[in-house]
Amino acid sequence: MAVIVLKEVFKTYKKGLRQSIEAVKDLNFTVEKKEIFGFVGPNGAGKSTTIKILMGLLFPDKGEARLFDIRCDDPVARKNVGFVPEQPVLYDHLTGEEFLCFAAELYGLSQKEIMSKVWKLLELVGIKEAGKWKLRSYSKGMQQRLVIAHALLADPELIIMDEPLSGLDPIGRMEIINLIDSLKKQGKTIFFSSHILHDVETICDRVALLIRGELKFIGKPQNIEETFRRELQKCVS
Amino acid sequence: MRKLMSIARVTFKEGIRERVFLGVLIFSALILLSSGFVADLSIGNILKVTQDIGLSGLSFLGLFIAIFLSTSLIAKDIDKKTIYLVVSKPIARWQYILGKFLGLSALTSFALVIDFLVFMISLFYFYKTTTFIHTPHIAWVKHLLAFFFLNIKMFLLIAIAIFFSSFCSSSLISFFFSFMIYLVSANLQNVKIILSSNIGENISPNLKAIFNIAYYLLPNLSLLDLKQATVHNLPLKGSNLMLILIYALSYTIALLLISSFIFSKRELN
Repeated sequence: MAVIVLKEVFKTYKKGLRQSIEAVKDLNFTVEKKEIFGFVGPNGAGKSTTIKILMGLLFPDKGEARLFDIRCDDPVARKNVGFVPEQPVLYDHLTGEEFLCFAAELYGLSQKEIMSKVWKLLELVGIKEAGKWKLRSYSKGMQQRLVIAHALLADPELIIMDEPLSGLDPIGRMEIINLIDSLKKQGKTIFFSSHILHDVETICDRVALLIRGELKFIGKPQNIEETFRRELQKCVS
Repeated sequence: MRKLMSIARVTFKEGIRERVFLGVLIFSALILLSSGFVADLSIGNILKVTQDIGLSGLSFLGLFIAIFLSTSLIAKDIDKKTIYLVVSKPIARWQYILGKFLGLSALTSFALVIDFLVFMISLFYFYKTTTFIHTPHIAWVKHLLAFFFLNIKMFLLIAIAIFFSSFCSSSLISFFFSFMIYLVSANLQNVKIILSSNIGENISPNLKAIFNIAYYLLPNLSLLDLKQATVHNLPLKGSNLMLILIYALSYTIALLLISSFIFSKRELN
């Protein structure tokens, strides 16, 4: 069974009264279990729109998006999903520990599970010492790590990450790439977007290339470079 | 239920740490503390003026939190996209709306309880330390009743603010609409009395028809205002109060249901 299914998905944004932008056009692909799937494309390609549709934040105009064979607008579909949004803004009045406890409660974890998981995850992402700090004092990199920790709280089968490496320094990027790799070894399915080709080439099993809302390539990362260059050339010219 | 309570708790904490909340709480507490001294400067029944200032101060505090904080906290969640981290969990949108409502209601009640205690202490002190020609009677139980209905009124106002926040893209627009509804709703009863008097005969039937629609459509907040009955110690009928309570709670529930429906269809971009 495919973990993610997108079938003929269209999404248009209204821009003013008369204009509209087609963010996603006729998107079709599936992501299989235990796969690391890279979703690559330049800024404004429609990557975040697709991810928002998968997370039930946006609704497709046409077509169907499913997680674990459940429609994405059904909250049950997100039960087994961890989500890392792009450049997240957190509740800055909470501490790191409080934020993870809050997220764990939203996943419906028991108090016992929360107690055992929160500090382990803070340690896993390397910010254990900052667990009692207010989030307003966290750096961008620390916030990103905390959000990754929050996505792992319910031990989800699928983790969806929107540009998880953006805003991180080289060491931070390496650590997150290693973390994604270790999650793969644990048998997780990872769907992650990036506008940097190198990121997806190093860790993905399969890659999809999205340009101006259209799927231009889907396959092994080794074969994407030529298509990516050609499509970028077209965009520039 | 735990998910709802988590959202409510975070909303409460967020509200309580807002500087503007603390500022208004302290400001209104100062007004309530000084109500006796301010009333001293007035002509007429000083004790009644004190109570009038006190209950109005409480109303002002509740109004500020109910409308301003409700609209700004929800809009902040959406503008800053903090909401992504909440609604991307296995929770329904109605749970988010209800959680926010519970958190904001708890926040309003918390502030009102603090200021009500300040007011009661101030009133009691003033009552004991002032020399009156005829010892006046203060309806302490009615103060409690007025305070209870003030809370109910604020819950209804929070539901109105959440209703507008469920579809308005800006907190300023939600605030404006909520405040306008408050102004109209708080004066519905007075306008009805005017329209049914001699003055009303000169008003056009079209305008009266519009008013009648508004009268039955908008919540009648003046019913929940027991200030006059408390200050002047007027009789209150238990069965009437019960009907008013059922009316306010039903209206609040209906608004929350509509808001949840609208919000479930809203795209969070």
